Amino acid sequence: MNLSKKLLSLSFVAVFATACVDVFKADYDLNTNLLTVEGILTNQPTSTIRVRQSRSNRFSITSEAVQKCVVEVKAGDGTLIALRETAPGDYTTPLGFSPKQGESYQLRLQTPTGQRYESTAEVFRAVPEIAKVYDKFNAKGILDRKGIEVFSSSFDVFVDFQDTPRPRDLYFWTAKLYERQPICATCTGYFNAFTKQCVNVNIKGILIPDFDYKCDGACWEIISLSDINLLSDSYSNGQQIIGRPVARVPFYSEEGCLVEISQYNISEGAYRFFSIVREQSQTTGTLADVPPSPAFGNITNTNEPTDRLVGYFGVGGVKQVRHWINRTGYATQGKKISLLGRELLYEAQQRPSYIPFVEGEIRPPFAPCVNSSSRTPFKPQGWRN
Amino acid sequence: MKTILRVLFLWVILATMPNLLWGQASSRLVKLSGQVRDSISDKPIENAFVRINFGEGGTYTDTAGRFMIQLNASTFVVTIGKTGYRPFRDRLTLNDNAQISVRLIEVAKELEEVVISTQTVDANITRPLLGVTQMSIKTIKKLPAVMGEVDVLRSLQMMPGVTSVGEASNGVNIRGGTVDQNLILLDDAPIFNPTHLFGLFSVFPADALSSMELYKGTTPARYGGRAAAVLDISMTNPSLDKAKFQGGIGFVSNKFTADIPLVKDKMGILFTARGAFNDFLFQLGPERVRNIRANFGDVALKYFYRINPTNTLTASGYFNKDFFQTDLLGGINNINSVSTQYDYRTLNGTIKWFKTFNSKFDIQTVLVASNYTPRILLPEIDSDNTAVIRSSIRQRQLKSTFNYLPNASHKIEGGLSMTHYRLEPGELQPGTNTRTNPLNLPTENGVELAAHLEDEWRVSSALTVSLGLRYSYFMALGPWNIQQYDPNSIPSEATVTGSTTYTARQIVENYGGLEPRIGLRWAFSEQASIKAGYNLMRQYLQVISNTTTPLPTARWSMSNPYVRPQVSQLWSLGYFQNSRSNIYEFSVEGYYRSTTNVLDYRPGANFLLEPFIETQVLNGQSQAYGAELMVTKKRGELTGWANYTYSRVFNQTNQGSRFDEQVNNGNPYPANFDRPHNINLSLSFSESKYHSYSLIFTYSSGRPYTIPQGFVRFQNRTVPFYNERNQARIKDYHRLDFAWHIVGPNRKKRKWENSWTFTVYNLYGRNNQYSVFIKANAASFETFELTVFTTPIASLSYQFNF
Repeated sequence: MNLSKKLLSLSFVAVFATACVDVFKADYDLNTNLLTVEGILTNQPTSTIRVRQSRSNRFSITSEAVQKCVVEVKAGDGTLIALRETAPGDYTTPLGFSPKQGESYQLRLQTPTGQRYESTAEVFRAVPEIAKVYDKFNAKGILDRKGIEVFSSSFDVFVDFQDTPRPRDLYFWTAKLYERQPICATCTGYFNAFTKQCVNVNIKGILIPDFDYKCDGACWEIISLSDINLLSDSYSNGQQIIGRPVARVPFYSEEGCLVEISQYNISEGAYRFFSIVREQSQTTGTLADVPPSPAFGNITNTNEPTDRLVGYFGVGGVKQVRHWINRTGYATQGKKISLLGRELLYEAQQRPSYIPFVEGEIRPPFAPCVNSSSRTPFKPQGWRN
Repeated sequence: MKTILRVLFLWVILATMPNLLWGQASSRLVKLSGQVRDSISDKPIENAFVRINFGEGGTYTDTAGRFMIQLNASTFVVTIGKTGYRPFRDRLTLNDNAQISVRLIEVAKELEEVVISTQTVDANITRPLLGVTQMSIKTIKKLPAVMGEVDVLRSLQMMPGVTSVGEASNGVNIRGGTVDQNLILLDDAPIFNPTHLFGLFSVFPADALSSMELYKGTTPARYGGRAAAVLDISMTNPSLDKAKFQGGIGFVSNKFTADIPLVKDKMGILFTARGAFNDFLFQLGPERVRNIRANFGDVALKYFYRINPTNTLTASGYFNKDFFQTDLLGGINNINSVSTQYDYRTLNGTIKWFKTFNSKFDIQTVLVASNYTPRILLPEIDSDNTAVIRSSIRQRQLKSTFNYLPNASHKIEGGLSMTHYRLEPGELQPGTNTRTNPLNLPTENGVELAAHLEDEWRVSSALTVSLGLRYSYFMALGPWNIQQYDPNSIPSEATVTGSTTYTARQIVENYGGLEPRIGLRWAFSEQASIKAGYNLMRQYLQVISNTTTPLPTARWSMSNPYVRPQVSQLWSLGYFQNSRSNIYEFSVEGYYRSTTNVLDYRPGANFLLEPFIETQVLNGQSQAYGAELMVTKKRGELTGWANYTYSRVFNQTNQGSRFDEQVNNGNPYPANFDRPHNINLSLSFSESKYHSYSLIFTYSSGRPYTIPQGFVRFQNRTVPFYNERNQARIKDYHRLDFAWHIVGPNRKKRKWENSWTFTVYNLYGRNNQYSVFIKANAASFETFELTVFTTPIASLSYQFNF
C-alpha cells in the first residue's frame, strides 16, 4: 500500500495548493519503560544481539544497556549456542559459528531479574550475491521535512541481483557511508591540545561560540543511512532484480565517497517487525495513514504474556559490497549540504580571553580522529585517494 | 485576527452592496401606489408593510390592501410583506408616478424550499419510519460547494448522524457505520466508489438526479446487503413532452444534460455528462506539480418507454472514470516506474419493468449489472512497457417487488431477489517485463438470495406500525482453495495445516438469517408523534482496508469461512413535532447500534495481491450510540436548518490473548471517525427570484488519532512506540461557506436562462487539520500536521438551460 500512500500524499499537494504540512507542537505525555532487543543472526563471523532498557518520560528518552543477561540461540536440531557479552548489553555469537541453510533458530533470553523471553523460530536463508552496484546523480534527491523544497541533491545507489528460485525471500538492505571528515572536534568553549578534550565554557551574559577543530590526520566519518528498505520477492520469485534503490547519499562534497551496502535475506519475524516500524515512522503523513499498532515484535515472555518486550530476533544471510561514488563535476547541477549541516567556524586567530594562554602553544590546535562506530582514522577498504 | 478581518470585510461588502448598486435619490417627488392581495384567495391584505430601501422610508396598506407613498424620483428597492407571507422585493426606477399590484404568497401554502425530510408536508409525523432523510436536489444545489461542484455526499454531511474522517474522505460514516457499510444505489445499481479524485468530489451527476433518500434508521425490508445505512439516489425520468437542455462551466468541470422526448407521451431519453479536463492548469503551477494529471468524468443515460397505460420500461446506464498521474518515482517490488497512474471506473446498467394490474396492485422487476474496476498503471523506466495491477467487482442482480394496497389501513410490499457477486481480488500484469511474474489471485464468486415482506399497517389514527421481515442467504461458491490453520495460532503461512479445494459452483460456506425491520409511530396530534424502530441488517461483501479512509483501489472481500458477515442491530427512538402550518419541523432521535464481525487488522497487514487475506485480518465488534436534534424551516424567504448530534462509536478487537490478536490490548477504543459533537447550520435567503444567498456552518469534534507513549531505537532510528489506539484527537473542525446564486439577471423573458453561482468555501480560512503524524530519522523525530483547504477558496460557475 505504500505506493498508494505516496501517491495520495502528493496528489493533495498537487490538486490543492492550499494543502500543507507543518511542524506541529505536540505535547506527548510519554511514560514507558521497555525492554528492547535487536539482532540478526547472520553468516558473518560474529552476530550481535543488543539488549537495552528504553525509558521515555516527559523530560528524556534514554536507552541503557542491560548487562548480565543469559542469551542463547537454540537451533532446530536442539543445539544451544551461548552468546557472550562483548560490550555492555551487546551479546555476540562465538567466533566460527555460522547458521545453516534452512535451519531454524530461536532466541532465548533471561534477564538479571529472572524474566525469560523466547522468540519465534526463525529460518535461515542464504542471500544471493549483489551482481552489480551503481549510482545516479539526483538533483532533487532529498526534500526538506515538508517534502516540498530540495534540501540536498543526492547520489542514489542501486543494485542488481538474481533472486533465488525459492518463494518468500525477504530482502533488507542497510547502507554505511564513509565520508572524509576534516573536523575532529567541536567545542562550546575550546579544545585543550594537551588533554585532547573539549573544555566547556559557560560565562553568564556571553554567548560562547561552537568552534570547529581540524583533524590532526586523515579521518573518515561513518554514517548509517537509516531508511528501512525492504523487498519481498512475491511478485518476482526467481527473477533478476534490476535497479533496486538501496541508498540515497546526500551531496556532501565534490570529493568521492565510499558506501557499503549490506544485502540481507531476513526471516519472517524480522521482516514483519521492520514493516511495522517503517509504516509508523517513515511512510506517515498521507491521506490514508494506517492507525499504528504496538510494534512488539516476535519475542515474548514465556511466563507472563502481559509482560511485553519490544524488538525482534531475525536470522538471515548477508552479503556486502563497497561502492565508490565519484562526485566530481556535479556542483553546478545540484545542491550541496555541509557534512555537519552548517557552516564551519574555526577558533579565531586572536584568542578569545576565556582560553587560557599556554606558553609555546599554537592555537588553534588540531584534534585527533578518535576511532569509534561513527568515525575512523583508518582508511576504509576501497577508499580511493 | 486576520481571519476576523476577512470576515468583516466580506460582511461590509455584502451590507453595502445595495447602495453601491442602486445609488441615491434625486430631488423630484413622485408617487408610488398600489394594492397588495393574497396570491390564492385574491383578498386584499391589510396592514402589509411597504419598505423603501430596507427601511429608509415606508408605510402600511389600508383595509383594501392599498398604499401610497411619496418618494424622490430615483431607483429604489421596494419590499412588501406581512407576517406569514413571503415578502415581495423588487428594484424599481421611478421617474414618474407609478402603480404596482402585488400578490403575496402565504408561506404555509407555498412549495417547500427546503425538502430534507419526506414527501408530504407532514410525513415526518405520519410515517412509521425513523431516520429517513430525503434531500431535494434543489436544496443540494443551493448549498455552497467546493469549487462550485454540486456534491451529494458533502451535502449529506450537513445532516445529523452523517460524518466523515475529513476533507478527503472516500465516503461518509452514518450513525457509527464504516464507509463500506452504506449501500449506495444510483437507479438501483450499487456504487462501490462514490467519489472522484480520492474523495474530493462525489460521483453523482446532480443535473440528472430527481431524489435522494437516506435511510439511517428504519430501513425498508426491500434493502439489504449493507450493515449501516442506505442511500438511494434516483435519476430523473426523461421528459415525454418537451425537450430541455442544460449545462454549465465551472472551475473544475464542465457539464451538459439533454432531456429529449423521442415519442410524445410515450418515449424519452435523458443524457448527462460531466468532464473535468482542466488539469493542463497544473503546467502553470509550481514545478513540483507540472506533471500531475487529474481527470475525471461521468456519463449517464436514461431511457423511458411507456408501453401502454399499465406497463413502463426504464433502462439506465452510468459510467464514470478517474485518471490520475504523478511523476513521483514509484514502483512496486521489482517494477521501477517513471510515474504512477491511477485509473478507476464504474460501469452500471439497470433495466426496470413496471406493471400496474390495478390501482391496488403493481409489480416492479429490475435487472441490475454493476462493474467497478480500479487499476494502478506503472509505466516503466527506459521502456515502453506499462505494468498493471488491477482488480474488479461485478455484481448482477435480479429482483422483483410487488406493492399491494388492500385497503386504506395496509400497504403491503414483498419481493424476491438474487444477487451474484464476482470479485477479482487482484491481478498483476507485468506486460513485457520478464523480471516480474504475472500474478492472478483466484476469482471469488458468491450468491445472495433474499425474500422480503413488509406491511405498513395503520392500526388507528394514532398508531401506525411498519412490520418488515427480510430473509437473506449467502453462499460463497467455488472454485476456491481454503487453507486450514492451526486452531491455536493466528492464521499465517507458518501455521497452515492443510487445504481444501472446492470446484466450480460448490458451496464453500453459507450464511444467512432473518432481518427484522420494525417501525412504530404513535401520533399525539396532527403535529406531534413519537416513533420507535428496530433493524437488523447483514452484510456479505465488505471492504478490506486499514487506512484512515479506504482508497479507491481498496480490496473487497465477500464472506468466506474466515471473513464472517457483519451483522448490525439498530434500536432507535424519536420525537417529532411540526408547527401548525408545517413551516417548522423539530425532531430528536436517539439510537444504539451493535455490530458484530467488524474487521480490524493485524499490525503490518498488507492486502495488495495477498492470496490469503485471512492471515491479515482480525474479527471484532462495534458499538455506536447517539442523539440527534434537528430544527428545519421549510418555507419562506429565509429557509434552512440547524442540527446538533452527539454520537460515539467504539470498536473492540480481542480475538485472542496475543498482542497481535488484539487492538488496544483488547479494550474498546474510539473508531477513526468517532466525532462526539457535531453542529450544522444551513441558511438560505431568497431575496428574489433572481438572487439567493446560502451560508453554511459546520463544526465537529476532532477525530481520534494515536499518539506515542514512548520512543525506542532500532536500526539507528528513533521510532515511536504506540500502545493504546486513538487516545488523542486532532483539532476540532469548523468551517463557514457562502454561496450567491444569480439567476438570469438580464434575460428573464427569454427562453435561454442562465445563472451564475459564486461560492466561497472555508470563508474565514480555518486551518483544519486532516491528520497529525510523526516522522523519524536517525537523529530524532518530529511531529507534523497535514491541513487541507487552509485558505478561502472562491469559485464561479455558470449554468444555462433552454
